[in-house]
Amino acid sequence: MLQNISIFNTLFNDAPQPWQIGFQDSASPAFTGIVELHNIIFFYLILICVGVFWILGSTMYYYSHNNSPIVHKYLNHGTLIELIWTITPALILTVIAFPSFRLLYLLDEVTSPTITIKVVGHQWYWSYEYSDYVTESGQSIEFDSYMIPESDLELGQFRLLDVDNKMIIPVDCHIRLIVTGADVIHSFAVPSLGLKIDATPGRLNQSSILAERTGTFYGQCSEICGTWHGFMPIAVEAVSVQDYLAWVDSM
Amino acid sequence: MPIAPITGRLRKRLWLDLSVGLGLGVTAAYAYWYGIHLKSVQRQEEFYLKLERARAQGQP
Repeated sequence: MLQNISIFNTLFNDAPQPWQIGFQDSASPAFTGIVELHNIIFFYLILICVGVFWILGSTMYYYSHNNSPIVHKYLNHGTLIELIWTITPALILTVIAFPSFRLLYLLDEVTSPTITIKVVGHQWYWSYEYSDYVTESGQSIEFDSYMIPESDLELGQFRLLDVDNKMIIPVDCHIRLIVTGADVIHSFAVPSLGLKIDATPGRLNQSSILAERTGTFYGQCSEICGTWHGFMPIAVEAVSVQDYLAWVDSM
Repeated sequence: MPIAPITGRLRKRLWLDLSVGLGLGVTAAYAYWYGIHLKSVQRQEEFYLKLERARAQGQP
């Protein structure tokens, strides 16, 4: 119990944990970049918060009714101090914006992808199409991915997260995702891979992922899409290239 | 009894408050940077180093 409520709990998992505060472990350069940007901004956030709360506390104490019964009549307005507390935050936001935009545009890059996977959001499941592989009859690999209901869960499977058919990807390969929705707007999100992209009907959105290690990474639909929005999880399994080819062969 | 002019109240405490506030802020921020951020970066790099070594030795 104590371990669950501690904010300094170290997590070693690619799925969310009860009472988790903080990020899951990164499995892609994109998410490593996002976490690093967060931590850099958090550094300045701590600095500003401590500074502001100190001055707030000091002002409340030294200028309270008890300590300062007579109000200085010229303290009601100060152009200089107002200029300072308006321009300083603007400068801080500008400084934060530069690394933020840099990362945003880097994440938008799709570097010569090895394979392309089409992801379609439905009410309320995901379907995946591996259109790079076509059988002799002209069919590509296509399958639906439904959440495993609680009654069918096996030992070690995650409630509300595990699915019957995972999306399989090879490690260390650039993968392009084409994401769309079949009915309403969904959002395809996998935190460990630094992925969150809207699945909009009538529109093809593009993103890319690169898994740096093997493992199963979990995510959930992140756009309210109806009654069972919370029951259409995403499970991405990154496997070695040999295992991936064996899986493609078996499909 | 005349009241003495109230001047310099802000100036008297402003520098002290700014110094202490920003000083404590910088200390807390660096404590977070070295105590949490860099440790997590080191843990991640060690993991990938271990992974690379295992790959170099031919393990999956």
